[in-house]
Amino acid sequence: MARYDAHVDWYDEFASTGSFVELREHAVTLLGPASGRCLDLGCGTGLALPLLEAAGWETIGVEVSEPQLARARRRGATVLQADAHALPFDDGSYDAVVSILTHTDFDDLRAVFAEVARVLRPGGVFVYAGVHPVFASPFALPQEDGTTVFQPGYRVTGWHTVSRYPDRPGIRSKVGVNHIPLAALLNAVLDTGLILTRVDEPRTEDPPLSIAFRAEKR
Amino acid sequence: MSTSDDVRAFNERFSAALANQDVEAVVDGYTDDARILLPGLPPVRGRDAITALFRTSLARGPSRITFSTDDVWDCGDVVIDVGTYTSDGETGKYVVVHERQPDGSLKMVVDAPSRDA
Repeated sequence: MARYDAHVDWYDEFASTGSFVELREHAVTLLGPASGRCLDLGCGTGLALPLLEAAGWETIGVEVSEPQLARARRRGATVLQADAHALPFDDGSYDAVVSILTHTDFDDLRAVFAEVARVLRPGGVFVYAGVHPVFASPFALPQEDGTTVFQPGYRVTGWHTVSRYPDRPGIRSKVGVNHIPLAALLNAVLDTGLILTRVDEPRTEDPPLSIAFRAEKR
Repeated sequence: MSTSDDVRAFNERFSAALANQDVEAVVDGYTDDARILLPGLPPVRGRDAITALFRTSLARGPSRITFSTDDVWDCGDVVIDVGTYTSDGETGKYVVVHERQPDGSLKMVVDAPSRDA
């Protein structure tokens, strides 16, 4: 049973709110001009798939949670149940890979990014967009006066299950998040041999709560 | 046994492997360089990819699928099975190309299922 299996309705609504919509739009823009086949890795209920298709990509979504996929399938998307740590595709079979709001869900991010690099063709593009590993980490505690207090522990990779706002259940309390420091996140990409070509902190909130980057396979 | 009997026996064993969540037995139904051709997707090709595919899907629970052969063509070392399937309320069609193995058994070299809309 995958962690998101029991949370289809909640996640679909949670991820349909403003900041997440903007993050998906940012990711699609960061991919650049559409040319061919794009894999949406960890597509969930398929919220990004219509955006990718509207941008001109031939889009395929993969997701480990079958109930999430069933929702994506009802939206008319081409999807497959697959584990991001071991993708059932040939080397070089995608022109682009995009993954949105996923990095804290994986047990082994380095293995996942290695799979991304493997299934991309030379010249292919990878875009990741997700929660900011510093300012949206479990160690950043937003205060009522607008400041942010940091607790120790940031350097330790690992799972967290306590919500940022105790009165509002979020990803952490529903499925947990696997925190990874910023340097480890970026190095997980660079260690695959992909070349980072852009790093963004999307939107205008201060401090930024999301991060996005683009990498290319040479 | 006729070729149709071979195909029926193969499909029954394959169904049982899926129902038993026996990934190894499922993957053993394919040749090492087999391709699974799913609509809209790149080919799932070779033992590693096929293993990854079934390891993920069968981790969630057994797959109860029944195959119903419409036609079998025996072309010597190659046997083609065309039919329909039902699985937990879902229906679909398939074309399967088997390669006859040195011991006479069948293994799938191409498996092309398509879920009904």
